[in-house]
Amino acid sequence: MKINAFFNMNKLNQPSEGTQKNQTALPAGKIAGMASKESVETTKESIKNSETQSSSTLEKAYELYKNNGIDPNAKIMAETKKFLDKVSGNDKDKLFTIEMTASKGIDPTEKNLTAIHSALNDEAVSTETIETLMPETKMVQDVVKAIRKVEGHLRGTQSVARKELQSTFESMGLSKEEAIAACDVVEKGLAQNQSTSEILNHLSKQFPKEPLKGMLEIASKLSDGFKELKVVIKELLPNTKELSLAFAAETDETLIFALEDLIENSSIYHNKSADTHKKNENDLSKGSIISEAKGSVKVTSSEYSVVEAVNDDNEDVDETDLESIDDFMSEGIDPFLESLEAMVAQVLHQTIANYGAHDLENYFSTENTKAYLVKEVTLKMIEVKQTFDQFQSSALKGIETVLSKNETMKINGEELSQLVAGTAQKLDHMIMKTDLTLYTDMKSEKKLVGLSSDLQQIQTLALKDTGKALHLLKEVHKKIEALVFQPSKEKVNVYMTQKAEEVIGHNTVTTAIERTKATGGAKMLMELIRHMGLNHEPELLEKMLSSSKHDATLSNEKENLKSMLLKLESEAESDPKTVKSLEKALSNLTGQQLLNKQEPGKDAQTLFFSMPMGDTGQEVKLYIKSRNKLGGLDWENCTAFVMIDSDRFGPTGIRLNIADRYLNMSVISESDTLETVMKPLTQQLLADLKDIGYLPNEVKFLKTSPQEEGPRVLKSSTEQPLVLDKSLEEAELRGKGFELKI
Amino acid sequence: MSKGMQAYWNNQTAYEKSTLNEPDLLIDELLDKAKLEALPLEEKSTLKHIVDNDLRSSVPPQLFSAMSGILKLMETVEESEGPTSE
Repeated sequence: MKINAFFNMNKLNQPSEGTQKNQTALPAGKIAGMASKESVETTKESIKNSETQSSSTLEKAYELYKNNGIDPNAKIMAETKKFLDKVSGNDKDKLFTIEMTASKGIDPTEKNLTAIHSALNDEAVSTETIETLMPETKMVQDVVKAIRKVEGHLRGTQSVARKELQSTFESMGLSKEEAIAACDVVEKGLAQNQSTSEILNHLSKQFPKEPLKGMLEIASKLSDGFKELKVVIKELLPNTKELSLAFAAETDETLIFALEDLIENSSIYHNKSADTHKKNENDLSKGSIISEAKGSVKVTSSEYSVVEAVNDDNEDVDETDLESIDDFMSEGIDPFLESLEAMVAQVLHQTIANYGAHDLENYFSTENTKAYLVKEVTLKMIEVKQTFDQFQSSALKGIETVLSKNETMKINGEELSQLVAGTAQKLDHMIMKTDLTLYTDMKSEKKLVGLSSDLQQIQTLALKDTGKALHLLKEVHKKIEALVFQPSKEKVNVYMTQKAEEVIGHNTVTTAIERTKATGGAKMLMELIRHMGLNHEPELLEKMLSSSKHDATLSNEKENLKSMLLKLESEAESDPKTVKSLEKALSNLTGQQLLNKQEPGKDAQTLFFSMPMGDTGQEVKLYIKSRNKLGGLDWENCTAFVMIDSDRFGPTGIRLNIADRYLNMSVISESDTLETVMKPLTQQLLADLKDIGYLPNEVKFLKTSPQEEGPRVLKSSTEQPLVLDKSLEEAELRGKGFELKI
Repeated sequence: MSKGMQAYWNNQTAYEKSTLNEPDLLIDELLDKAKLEALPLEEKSTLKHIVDNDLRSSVPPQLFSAMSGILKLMETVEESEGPTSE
């Protein structure tokens, strides 16, 4: 059974009591009064002639708009009609879509309605779906891989390459002669030290026929493995002459050389204290890539010092910055960085095994590739360590200020609450918006989320009992002080593997999604959402606004599934079949985004996600309804419903009812055996939920029979007649599946 | 205007405020910029409903953590030994 059949929120399709009272047929005159005669006549005529829908559906839609405060003018009704005609499914589902759209204040255009309908009713956009939609992806990877092979061949490291490249070109639609000519272009480009990207661009100009041209353009983009490194460097070293030289570099190797020049020529390098310099010389003399990378990083990570030094060679360098970097290198992550080389070797070995790319072994084993990965990870670790240090120091300072202020002059509850709110906000920002939690283990992430809950508790408590709140604040101070940044090897491995895949042109959004799913935690879920592109537009806006005079380049933004689909859709105009498939996938993603629109003026906020999870890509639907808290969701008062299409136990629903942090959980399934297997495992979940601030109460297992038609009887595990308690009132089982009343 | 957009809005310089006094204009600016860079974006009628909802700010980490915990539990259940549903 598919999850969309099971997770059928039909209850929502039923008009509310108030709506039913108004559910009389809509007189034609009523429609006439709301729009121009012409459009009304068109609408009426359409309704009359429609074979796919009853006129009453459109009339019901009209009422739904009115009940939700939307003026159902002719334009809206025409769009609605287009939607009703276009999408498949029953009228009930369509009306539900209309109600959801109207209740969230979303413009009921055909596109928006279709998107929301797709999100609610269609299968999630899985990585498999994407690969089916875009067979080009694999072909693009094949081209990049084949070019790499030719490159290896020319360097004398590989034997058979050109033949495979020729065959790849032929499979992409080129004639034999054309394929031979294309191979010549590649070989010539490689002989002239052109980058893969440049070669692909030449090819796309020389063979401008679709779909090859489009594929080559995509391949050109995919092959740019150093794009992200450039972004990081640009952030670290803005507006320097040397940087622009580095950016002029077109190939991986020239970029490395340009960077090395930049590092070596910058005055900061030569102004280092004698001891530091000596230490680096010793390190370098050992020929260690780590030391080399660390040497580079010592300079590049000292952001403003480098910029100052480069801009004014005569200025003295602030040694404190260098010392602080040396300090943390020796304190926290140094041992971790020391083990990087071994980790890199392991990741490369694993990547070769995963892709069966034994012929790429030579390419991988080059010192440049290793150095690249080591540098990437070192830079990233330093960046996140700095994020952590900044938070820790500012949070401690903030709390100390509050405590010391209270000693001299008693502060009132309201003031305390406000002061703590700032720290809580910073912590949440660090957890959700920075990369820190991408590289820490689950335990550390839980500690941070737990601290966030403590700080929020202090905010509430301060208004009731300032003494207790201050006591708790001291405890939080101790906890923050005791925090130590520890990168998680597992998560860093994921990052390195992605980078390694980029080197061979295998890294795609789909592999990024797969890898992210394997890590777990709040940040994992957020990253998965980001990889799918469900946060694409807000991040573009943020990027635009975060730059002075809005001069940031939007296209530097990290690729995600949605941005990739949008690009492909705009490039695939000549292939209607592909465009249609892309539109469908895009519609599904956009629909989820629309359903996640937050409405500051409303009491309740909702979230809806539909995504693939697990190794076999089981579909998961997440639905959250929460009290409005400052225009966002309230984790202390909400209802969450997770529907999973389990391979072993069939469709399974897990419902969390949370009120003032007290949490009740219900597991609803058709399976006879789920309870036996799951019950012992729920203890860990409850313990984890407690760690992050929830107060777990009880877990119930409810079973339903799949055969019964109509309202189903819920039975508890003890076979006692089950009286639906408050927590389950809204989760009735009817027809094919659960009905979730909003 | 939501919390996120409000925060961005408050951060704008006086110059920007004088030229962009409506969130609508901000969306137009984004669309223009994307067009210049040949970066495909949603239509305005859709974009205006989604551009202002940064899930990293509107969804508290506790909620994502709880959801992630449930997904992890289901994954463990799938992989664990024991009877399978008939």
